[in-house]
Amino acid sequence: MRLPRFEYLKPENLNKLLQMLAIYKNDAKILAGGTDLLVRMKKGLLKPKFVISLKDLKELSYIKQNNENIKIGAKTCIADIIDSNIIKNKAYALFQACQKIGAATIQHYKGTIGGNILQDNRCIHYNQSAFHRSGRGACHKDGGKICYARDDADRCFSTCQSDGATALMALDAKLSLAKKGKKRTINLADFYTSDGIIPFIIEPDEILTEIIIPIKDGVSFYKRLSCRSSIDYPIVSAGVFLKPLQKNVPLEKNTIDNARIVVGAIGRSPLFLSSASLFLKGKKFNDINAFKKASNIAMDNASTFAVHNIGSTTLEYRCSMIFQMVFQALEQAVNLNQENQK
Amino acid sequence: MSNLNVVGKPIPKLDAAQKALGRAQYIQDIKLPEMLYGKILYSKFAHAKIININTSKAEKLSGVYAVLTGKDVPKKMKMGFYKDNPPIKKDKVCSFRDEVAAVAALSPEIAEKALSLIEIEYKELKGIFDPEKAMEKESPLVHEYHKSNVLKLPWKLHYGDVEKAEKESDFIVKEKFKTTWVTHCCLGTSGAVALFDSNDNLTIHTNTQIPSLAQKDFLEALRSMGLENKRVRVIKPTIGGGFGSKLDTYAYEHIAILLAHKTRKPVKIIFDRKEEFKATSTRQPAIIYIKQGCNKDGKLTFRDIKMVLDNGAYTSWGATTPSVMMMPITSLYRVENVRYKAKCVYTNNTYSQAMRGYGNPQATFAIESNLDMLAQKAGIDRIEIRRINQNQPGDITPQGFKISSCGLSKCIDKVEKELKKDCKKQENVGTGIASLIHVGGGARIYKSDGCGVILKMDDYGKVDIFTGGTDMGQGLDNITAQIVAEELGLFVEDINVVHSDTDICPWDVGAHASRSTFVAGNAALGAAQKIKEKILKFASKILDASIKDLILRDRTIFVKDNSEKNIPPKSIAIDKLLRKAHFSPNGTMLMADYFYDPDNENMGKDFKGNMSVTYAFGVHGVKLTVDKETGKVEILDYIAAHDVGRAINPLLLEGQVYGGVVMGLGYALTEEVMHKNGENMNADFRDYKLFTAKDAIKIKAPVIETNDKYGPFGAKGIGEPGCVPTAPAIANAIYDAVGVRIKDLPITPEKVLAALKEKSLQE
Ligand SMILES: Cc1cc2nc3c(=O)[nH]c(=O)nc-3n(C[C@H](O)[C@H](O)[C@H](O)COP(=O)(O)OP(=O)(O)OC[C@H]3O[C@@H](n4cnc5c(N)ncnc54)[C@H](O)[C@@H]3O)c2cc1C
Ligand code: SF4
Repeated sequence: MRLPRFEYLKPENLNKLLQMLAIYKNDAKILAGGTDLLVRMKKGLLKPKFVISLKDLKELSYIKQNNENIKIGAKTCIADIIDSNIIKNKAYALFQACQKIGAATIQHYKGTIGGNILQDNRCIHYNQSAFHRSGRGACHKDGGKICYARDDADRCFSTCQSDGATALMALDAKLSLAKKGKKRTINLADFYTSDGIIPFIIEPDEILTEIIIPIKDGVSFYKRLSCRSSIDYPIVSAGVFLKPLQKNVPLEKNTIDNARIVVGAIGRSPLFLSSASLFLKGKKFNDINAFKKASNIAMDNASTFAVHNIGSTTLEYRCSMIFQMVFQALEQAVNLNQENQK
Repeated sequence: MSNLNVVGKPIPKLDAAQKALGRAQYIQDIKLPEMLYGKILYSKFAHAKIININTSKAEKLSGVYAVLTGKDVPKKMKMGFYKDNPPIKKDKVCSFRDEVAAVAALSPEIAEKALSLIEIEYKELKGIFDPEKAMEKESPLVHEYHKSNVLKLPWKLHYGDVEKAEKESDFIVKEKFKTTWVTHCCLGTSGAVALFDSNDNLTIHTNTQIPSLAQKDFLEALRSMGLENKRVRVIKPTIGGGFGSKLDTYAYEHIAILLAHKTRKPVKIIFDRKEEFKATSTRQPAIIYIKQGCNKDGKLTFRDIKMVLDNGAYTSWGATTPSVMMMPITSLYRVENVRYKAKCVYTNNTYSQAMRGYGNPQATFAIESNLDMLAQKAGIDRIEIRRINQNQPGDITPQGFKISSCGLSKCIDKVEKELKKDCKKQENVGTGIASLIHVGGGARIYKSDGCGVILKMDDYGKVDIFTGGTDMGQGLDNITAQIVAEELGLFVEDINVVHSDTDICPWDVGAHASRSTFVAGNAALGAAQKIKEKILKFASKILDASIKDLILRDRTIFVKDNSEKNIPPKSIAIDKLLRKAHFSPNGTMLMADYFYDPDNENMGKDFKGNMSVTYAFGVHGVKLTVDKETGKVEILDYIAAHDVGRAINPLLLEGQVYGGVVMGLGYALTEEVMHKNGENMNADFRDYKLFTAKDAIKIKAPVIETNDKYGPFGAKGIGEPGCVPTAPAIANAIYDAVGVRIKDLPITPEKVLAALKEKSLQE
């Protein structure tokens, strides 16, 4: 499999890049680490005329912190996030999620956090070679009208398997986007469309510049299940965040003021589960039964989004593991924090 | 044998640095003047009639030199063990990997483009993907001319009286087991470069484990093309992994030959990873029905096995794996009454092929899982039942295998000791063991099981050795060099091993059946001994000493020192001796040839016969824990004890065992080529769950040396055994940990969890 032909552009600053995007729009694709983009191009899933590399762009690689937020440049590589004490201390779930991405080579060498969030949704019926796909009718994501993952689907249910996005949504992150002459900030949870064909609300001439994580008092955790220990997308994952009500009270005696439960690798986007999250408000941190109940609600709600589109497990197993991942994430978030306090 | 200088030393692989520096020449690296690039077009259906093929647009594309379809393939050009597989299919396709057209062009890009311009009209036919269903009368036929989907192969044996023994057994366990498709995952993908000289003699560079048999296949191919009495030269580049995948000749090689002949230019075909997954063969999936019995004392009374093997749409050597499955079935442990019957069945799936262990892992999975169940039923300890029935040196098994050396008992002791080191029973933690028998001294599958070697020495004391044996990464180069160096008192640096070219190297049946160290090793030893004799004769004259007083060591010939201490022994450096021999009137240079054909037997009509001169044994033990919430298995400890006769090179030996175990772990836990109605759905390493470095575990690999009297310096084969008993050891440990028995590979978390659920419902 070879890359299709394209023109390679390498702007040295953001301004130039935005100008290029404004001109080429849909004909261009941004290349960060390329660990998602190039694989898809080799499979013939997209053939941009222009590939705009972020290689020479120095502006978008950083991890900063002020009183309210952590700010991560979109081009920051995964390994730098794993190494950052700011992230480990204030956004633990993201640290854990990044450790799980791909393999050391992907984390160190190329993969970026922006690319991680913006990697395309996946489906075993779609992420195949051009020859494989040409042997049958095109599915929704391929420009057709059928779906191989769910018989009656009127749209594409391909799955967002980003580890980073799931953790970031649990941490209530926001995204900064820029296009020529315009900037905007959007909640990550509002960044997704309801169709797997084009999963993100981003314009063709827009670029993701920054990820903003609000610093909140609380504990977070990320848990994921996969077949292997590396080079493996999640079968299911869960990111959770729990905010205590009282200050300076140990967790086991504290009450949950606010919870965020997010399930990944099941839906078209990471799924923020509001009723499961809301259920935990006012519950005690040591209330295992409440955690179980919340995990069950999460499983019931998230399952409806899942379709059978990964090869290694059945849909039933995948869905039943939602409970496990959410529950383990909640439980371990509290345990870990108690240990740290000791 | 204690004072060996080179044999028994952990010398790193001779070509390791070359490979690490990127200088080894793989098939990918070969580039010849005027070379064209070939590409193959595959079927879009599992089963369909080809109504029409239009190649005119492809032919018109600039840069295209030839387009081939089934029409262009000589009628008699058929591949495989059953000769049912033309390299390009003409009227009908029977699987997704069926070749329907091929092109040769100036660049791979043009070739690919040309493929996309070929228009084919198909009429889809109903496919059959389940071998048991394919055996039913009304099932569609994969090959109409064959009249049945069941291959006419003779896999059937019955020794003793199974029915009587069953009646007399105190305990019997009957079970069904299943294994699935897995694939070799060689790091180096397949490929070949073919070219003809002006007299229509063929040279083919190809990744093969069987240069001599491949030569025979290609000669046959030439004859089918009307090219009689031609020469075929097979050149084997550095191979990036074989594992059985290169034990046959394939469509891409035949297509390269046809394209090269048509264009009169060298043609290169290289697979990309996707093609490697989709268009190379897998291990056979097996459905296994097994019954074993024992008496009150735990003595095995009988073993009765029936198997259905998914042959896929065509037949390669893989269809003969039942002949190797017979080995564990008749001869793993002492059991007098055995019956076995296997059917290979055509389906519209991919066709299977040889893979490390050659059927043994499938059979051993069933036997060793079932044996644990039998032990439990009989109330006998799992390890004890294995001791009661273990093979012993001197045994002749029901199939007529003569067990010369046997370290099974020592392997069991070793594994037991390791597993019991920390015997506190923890929740959800369990241990399991499983044993293996495998051919360790050649395997007479073919008419000859031999290997030829030519050895020559130069004026500087250096040796060139031309062996028929094949190194494909497993280390035959080292083994050959170490054996020859040891015998001639040289260092490995003095030995150059050439193993890559049928124009230069003598015949060998191939790198399979864990036979190379034993057979090619004995061949090298034989040639070295011949040369040594000549050296000694000459040296005895020069040093004026009796031959029996001479020693070859450190590149020197010494006279054994019988005199006073202070006088250095008489000696002559070997290079000096060689020059003396060369540069004297009537001079001579030292050369020797040797053909070693082991004293093993072809199996007779009833499949009896001592297939191998000696047999390898081993026992694997594993400790693992099962996560009851997710079903995930985590391995805590792994011991692989192998009776290897002698470790010629302990470093490479460990490498073989580690690699075997990790391959076995994938087979047991994660690997499966997923097929959806015959179509491969996971043709990449992301979705094919090969173990990664992070998944690999620490393996203890104690070596049991039994010093086999037939082996070179006592060695037996170890290439395959490492992956044979892994899956049953794991299945047995899972049962020990959480009380569920998984009978269907791979043992995914999902299967474990489902079994746990079912168990809790029953309780
Ligand atoms: C073998 C393998 C295993 C993997 N395993 C995992 C895994 O376990 N978990 C996981 O989450 N991911 C995994 N990935 C996916 C991917 O490698 C990572 O998500 C990585 O972080 C992507 O980053 P990148 O910089 O390489 O993205 P790229 O490939 O460069 O970009 C991805 C997409 O985002 C767009 N893009 C990138 N940056 C910007 C920007 N600043 N603004 C606008 N658009 C942008 C690109 O145009 C492209 O469409 C795996 C990939 C491979 C090849
Ligand atoms: S979910 Fe359906 S429409 Fe979307 S990619 Fe998969 S098969 Fe195509």
